[in-house]
Amino acid sequence: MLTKKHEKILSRVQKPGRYSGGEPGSIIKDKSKVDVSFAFCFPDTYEIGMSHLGMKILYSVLNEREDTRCERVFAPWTDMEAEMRKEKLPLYALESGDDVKDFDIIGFTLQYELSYTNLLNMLDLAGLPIKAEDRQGLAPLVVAGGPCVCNPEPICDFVDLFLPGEGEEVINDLVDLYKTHKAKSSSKAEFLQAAAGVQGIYVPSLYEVDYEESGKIAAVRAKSPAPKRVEKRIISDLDKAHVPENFVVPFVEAVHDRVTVEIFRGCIRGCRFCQAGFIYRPIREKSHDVINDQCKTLADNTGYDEVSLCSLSTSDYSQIQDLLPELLDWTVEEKVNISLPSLRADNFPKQLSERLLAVRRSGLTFAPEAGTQRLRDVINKNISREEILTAARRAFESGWTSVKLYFMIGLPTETEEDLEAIAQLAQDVVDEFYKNPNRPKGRGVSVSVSVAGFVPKPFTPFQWEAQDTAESFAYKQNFIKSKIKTRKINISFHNPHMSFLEGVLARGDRRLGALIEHAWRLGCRFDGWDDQFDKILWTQAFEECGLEPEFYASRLRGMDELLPWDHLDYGLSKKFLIREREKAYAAKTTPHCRQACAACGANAMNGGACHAIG
Amino acid sequence: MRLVRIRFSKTDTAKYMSHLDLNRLMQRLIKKSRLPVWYTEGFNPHAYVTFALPLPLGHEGLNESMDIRIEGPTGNEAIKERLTAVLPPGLAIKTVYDTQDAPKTIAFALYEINLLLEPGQDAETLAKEFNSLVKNTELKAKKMGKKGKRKIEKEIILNPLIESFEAKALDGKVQITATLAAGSKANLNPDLLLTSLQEASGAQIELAKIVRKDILKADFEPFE
Repeated sequence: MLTKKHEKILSRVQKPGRYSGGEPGSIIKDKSKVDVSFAFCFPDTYEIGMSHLGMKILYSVLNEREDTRCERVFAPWTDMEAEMRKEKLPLYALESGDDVKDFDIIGFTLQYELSYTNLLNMLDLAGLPIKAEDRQGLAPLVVAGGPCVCNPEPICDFVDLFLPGEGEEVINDLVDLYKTHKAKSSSKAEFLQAAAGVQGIYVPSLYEVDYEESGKIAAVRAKSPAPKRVEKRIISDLDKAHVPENFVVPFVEAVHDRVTVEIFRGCIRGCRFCQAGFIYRPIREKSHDVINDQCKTLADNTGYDEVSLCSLSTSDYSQIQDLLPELLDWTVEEKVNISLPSLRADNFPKQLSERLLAVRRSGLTFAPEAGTQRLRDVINKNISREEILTAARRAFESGWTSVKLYFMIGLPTETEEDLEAIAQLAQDVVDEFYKNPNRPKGRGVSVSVSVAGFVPKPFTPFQWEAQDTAESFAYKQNFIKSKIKTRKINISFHNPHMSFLEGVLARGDRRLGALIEHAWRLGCRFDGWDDQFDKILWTQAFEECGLEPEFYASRLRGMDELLPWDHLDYGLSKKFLIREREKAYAAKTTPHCRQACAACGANAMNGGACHAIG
Repeated sequence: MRLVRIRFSKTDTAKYMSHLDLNRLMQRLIKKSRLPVWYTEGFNPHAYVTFALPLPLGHEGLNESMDIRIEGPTGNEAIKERLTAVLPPGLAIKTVYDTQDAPKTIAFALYEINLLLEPGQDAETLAKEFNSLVKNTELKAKKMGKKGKRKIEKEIILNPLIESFEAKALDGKVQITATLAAGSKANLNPDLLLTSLQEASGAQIELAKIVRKDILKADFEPFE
């Protein structure tokens, strides 16, 4: 696939293995034997995209089809972009080297609001008009899925249709429909009208939004035949959902370079700040034997020496005690490590840590999220100081010497006391280490504290909240820093301006399309990267577009306000979200879903079934 | 336990793999092939794999050398077959044999370098100039070195590291055949030589295709 032009460019960029293709596990198909070509685009670097499980699943789902070829595309890093523009090399897909613009469908996965400018940039690098209305043919059709699609309004101008919810099934429906319309040479409009009738497909051009003078949304009108509300799609039985038998194994080291197998979808916890905990409902578990088989197959086929179990909260998997012995049966002998991310401090099992230690010693991370019990109750992070310290003690007794703690600032009802408590809790963890008489001699403890700025997100009980301003975040960061008295605690903070922009884009409406386009034209790329994010350019973009970011981020919305994402249905009843918000302000917790059903409503999407309530 | 040497080529897209990438890939391929190799003992057991002479990113190699330790009776032909079955495009196993020469006997490497020139450059003139530069001029290059623990930039003279060098014009390109010092005692990366030649001559090179054809011992016999 490599032409002289490719070779010349690749000889001049960092990590050319990101752009060369040819990795083991990549699927190269005979173009003449397929009906539909699908370019799967990840709007961030190769190393991040290649770590993403959703992309691996959909790549496999699409390539399982004999009539379709799916190829991978990642956002070229800035050095590669400069070379491509200089040499006039359009964006190409890694398997065939074909130009992205020649594919039938270009699909983006949107994991993070700060990757939006990369979506525009990739379309532009492909040589395509960035705006949906300027791409008149049926091909290429630009589609997007992923968690950000629960409020896709800010990027409606650029995308032809969105796939809210889970992609494994709806992507097949989309390709089937596309194939039919391609065969009869339908127009793009004809195709989009038909697509709007499929559950889990949202065609933004079939909706009109009216605004009040205040800037709030007055009405959203669906044009026939689009439904008034678009329901997300879900997979009913996770045991039967498609899981690849092989992964593309990158040459360049990915962020997560290992076998990843999902163990359950959804989360029983209902932490009120956590969008994933709400939009992936209802809870659906995969059976332990299915997981074990999938792990084994993937380890055999990829040669990876690490298997990671993926979910929002691994220790909440109800069959974990069945699964781990099964996994350890073969992984120990085959020298494969097991990694269990997203463990909770309150049910971090003692035996678990010891058996895992026999295989590998990796870092330990706990996420108290807030410093005081009161604020943890507000956000429904049902975990106590004692539980955190017990978990830390166990970790230290098992030989760990470094622990990471995650916190957020800017949470609703937060006071100075809550901020001070972050520093205190970190200090308590340090003290816990020195209480252990058997601690390793001559080695200190390292407690890394990472503090993020809270971003209110759609479909959470905090979707109406005013977000902290960047200035307020910065003030609070300095305040916490001043309270830390030991070098055994390393504290790091998220860039407050990035958290603020994320907040604007997360709850934005269609008028932000102009802003994103303008910011991109000014040169914004990779806004999620600290070294690339340019606050000055974004400020300029807001000013020149006549938009006030505070309207979107810093404004407390009324409960009756029409929200930009209200015409998308993620199965959550608004009453439930309001109830949760009220409880938050009363600092009342909600028991997790296995203790008592909180009546979120999501089980209705799965014919009434929710694995948390049996 | 048997020490087995695997000779392989690394060309096309595989040349964009760094040495670390290749090392990681080989760990996985060995695991995937289920060859009975010896694993290191420790917290992170991994297959014992060593490379005789790392190949810089972007260079192709036609006869690279990698050693593994095999436990049990698996024969060399079987090793070749099982590894070949899992190799990605650009990597190919040439021969598998019981280790002979120690890697410290490596002294030289044989290169073929093809230079595609920017428009307006004359291959004939440049080839002549390169030959003359190597023969008559002291070629210098800057290299990052270490002084104790500190990293410092130092200047080295390249000519003593060039055993043989011949540039000629071929189809509008400059083709260089060179034997350069290689190994742990003295080593000359051809990129460094090209940079130096480019600076001394003002040549404008569009693309340099560097191929390491073989690895040689001090007596210029192939490393086996």
